[in-house]
Amino acid sequence: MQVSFNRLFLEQTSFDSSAPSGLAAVLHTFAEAGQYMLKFLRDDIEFDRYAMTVLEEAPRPEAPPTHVRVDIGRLRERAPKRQAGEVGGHPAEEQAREFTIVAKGFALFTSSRKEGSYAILAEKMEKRAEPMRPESGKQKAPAGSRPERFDSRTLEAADVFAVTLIRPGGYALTNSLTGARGKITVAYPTIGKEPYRPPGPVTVHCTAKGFVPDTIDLQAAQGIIFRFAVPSRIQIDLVTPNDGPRKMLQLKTRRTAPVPELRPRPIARWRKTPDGGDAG
Amino acid sequence: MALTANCDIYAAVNEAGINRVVRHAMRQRPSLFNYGSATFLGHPELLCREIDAHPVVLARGNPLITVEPPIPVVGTNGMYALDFCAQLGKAEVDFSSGNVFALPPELGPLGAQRLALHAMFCAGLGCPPDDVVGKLPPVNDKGIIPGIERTPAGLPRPTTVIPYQMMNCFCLDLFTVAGATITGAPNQHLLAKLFGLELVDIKPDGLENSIECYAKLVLKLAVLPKLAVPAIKFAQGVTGLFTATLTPSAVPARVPNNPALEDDELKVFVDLAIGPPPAPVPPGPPAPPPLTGVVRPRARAGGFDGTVAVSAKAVRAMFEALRDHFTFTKSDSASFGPFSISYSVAAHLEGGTIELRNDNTIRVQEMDVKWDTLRVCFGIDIPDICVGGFCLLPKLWPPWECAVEAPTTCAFTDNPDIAFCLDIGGFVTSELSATVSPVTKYAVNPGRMAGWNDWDARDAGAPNKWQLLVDPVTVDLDVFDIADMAGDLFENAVDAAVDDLLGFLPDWAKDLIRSLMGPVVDVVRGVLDFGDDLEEWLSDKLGVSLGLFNFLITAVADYFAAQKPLVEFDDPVQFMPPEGTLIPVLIPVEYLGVGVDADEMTIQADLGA
Repeated sequence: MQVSFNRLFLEQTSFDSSAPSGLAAVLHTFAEAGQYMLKFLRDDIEFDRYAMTVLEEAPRPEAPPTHVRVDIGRLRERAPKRQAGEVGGHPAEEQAREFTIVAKGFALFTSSRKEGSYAILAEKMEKRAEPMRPESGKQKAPAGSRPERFDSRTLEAADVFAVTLIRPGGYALTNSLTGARGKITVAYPTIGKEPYRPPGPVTVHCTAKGFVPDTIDLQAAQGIIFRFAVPSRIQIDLVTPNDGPRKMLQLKTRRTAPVPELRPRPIARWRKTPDGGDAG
Repeated sequence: MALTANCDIYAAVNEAGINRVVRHAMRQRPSLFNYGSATFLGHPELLCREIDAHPVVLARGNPLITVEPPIPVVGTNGMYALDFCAQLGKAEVDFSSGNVFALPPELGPLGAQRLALHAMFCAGLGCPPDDVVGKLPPVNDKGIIPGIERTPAGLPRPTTVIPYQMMNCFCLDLFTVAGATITGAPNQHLLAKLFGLELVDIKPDGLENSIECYAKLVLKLAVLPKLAVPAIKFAQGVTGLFTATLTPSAVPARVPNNPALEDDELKVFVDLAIGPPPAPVPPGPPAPPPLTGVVRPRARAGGFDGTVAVSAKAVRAMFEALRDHFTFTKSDSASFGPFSISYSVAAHLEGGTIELRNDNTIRVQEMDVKWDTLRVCFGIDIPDICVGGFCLLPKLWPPWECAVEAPTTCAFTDNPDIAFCLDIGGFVTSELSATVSPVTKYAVNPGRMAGWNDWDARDAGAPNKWQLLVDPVTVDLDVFDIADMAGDLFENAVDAAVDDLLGFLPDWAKDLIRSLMGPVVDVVRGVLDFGDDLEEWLSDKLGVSLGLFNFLITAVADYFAAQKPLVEFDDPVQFMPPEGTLIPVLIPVEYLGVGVDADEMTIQADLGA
């Protein structure tokens, strides 16, 4: 028996909306129907790709899903290993590596595995895409038309970044595209007589003037949802961990004299005295 | 008055029973009662008295007589001898007040506390006719037959038994009057004491007196000591459970006569002391399973051939010894979906009272069940505790459902998540009571083939059995309380198990999980669904779902009887062992009964004819 707690979730103290992982996720709405190519980049170099078909709404009795969860960590765990720099593959494999949703449906991007720094790029293709070459930074749309495009490094109005901070302490909040800063404090959990249920998520708006609100007090395991009025890339880093009262007590105990062991006081005690009598 | 009013154990044998035994012995071991020269071995029809031998004696070629040398003709230096026979034709006993046979005037009537023996002896001599004697070579002065003192091979000439035409037979009736005493402390024997002897119708008186004198010496010096019932006082290990030390009840402090010869019975009164069991012996091969018997009703009326009564006090002492050696061990487990329970127990019994009742039952009340080990282990699937997973986008319809949820991670996804054990033996108070009814059954051995006689069955190890069992009418186990302390133990164990499970986590993560769980014991209480009363729930699960208490009750019932007879013996029972080719003397037990009243437990037996 063991607690199957994902250690990534326990150890993660930094979050980047470009590379959602652990208890962080980016939600993107695909407004237009068409063929998309999902690419995963690390240091601007593609390391994985998937096809995504966005269909017009409900053309078939068996409607495609309105949303899809893309866990790159899990996908890569299941996928056959490739050589470094190798992309694409057998058509049958491509077929299996395809997502389908309806227009105005959502894709939730995250990784349940530690992926480090990476980015997600989704581009609409006018025709069937030819085998792609390694990407080099952001692509520009042809002049006059701007096909729908998603880049986790630049979250916009159609996107949502959500994270659950479970490590108690103080966090620094930064929008690396606008330079806005904020502060998040996650309270230490309190063990009560009733099971604790975190309150609903706090919504933070990323505006041209900064985060609204920019000081966020969260209860233990309470979620945050970021919505975007300006292009943003959210970074959250633990600054001041809160190890709770037990740690404080340990520190305090170390500085003070040992506490004698508490023993219950006997109600009565009989003792044989030297003169042979009994004393109560 | 109770048979055991002044003793612990009462045993009585009726004169009819003893006379039956004698008759069986005379029929099955005729050579013990009939003597004669070798001529009669092949011609028993020539004996003075016809021998009524059991057919099995003849079928197995057992001799009807014990061969003795012929009676030599005095003065012939052993050259000539005569055939003879001596037979005990009848033997019977009569206890006061004397109603089996009439004593001769010289001895009778039979007094109080006396027994009378009657034996009829028949003897005869093969007397040759004169013409035969006239043809026999005479013996010379040296006591030999000249010329034929040796055989042609040079060996000494064997004795010549002179042929005869008919036996000269006579029969004598011997009557004796005796008492009985217990003698020979510390290992007393029940011994007959001769008071008088009379041979009927022998003249002249000198001859009668001489023969009577000789017969008395034989009885006093040879026969009666051999008939002594050995070791009235003895210590006997009873099935390894206890040592029963029997001593005769004191006269006159406890009983007026011991033994008592009255009411046509020989009665013995014995006191019982229960001691620790003898040193254990290495276990032998496992005993075959007991036979299944049926109740066999009595076929005759009147007094029993034998009676043994055990006082309530003695029954109580034996019960306590039995109780003290009862142990129970058991382990089992079961799954109940979100949780599983296993247990291992060891228990013994203490205390309690025993009461013999007039309705033929024995009531054992309020024996404490001492749980030497009562270890209960739980495996519990704790509901998943998750963080994250809040709703990012609600559905358009219905809007209270979520279309997309934030990532989540959960703890306690194993099954079971936690396992822990409680040692609650010291906190469970329970009592066991039982009502049992002694019963006797007769079991026909299924291995006994058609056409076998009792000796065949005995030789094949397939004898029928008489069984004394205790039929459990009711056995009740009352669990009065599982102390509140067990609840505390439970909470502590749950906490410790969760602490252990979360041990690898940093403190803040443990606190977060514990915060989300709430009080762990509440979570477990929800899983186990025991509400507020752990003790009652535990009792129900152990007793009903896992059947522990039923196992205990069954074990107690089996131990105190049910499937294993308390006493079991062969039918017919062996009275005399086989000797060489001689068959054993077997006495059929026609009936064995047992009954209980408030004073004692009584076992009664009839012997078969």
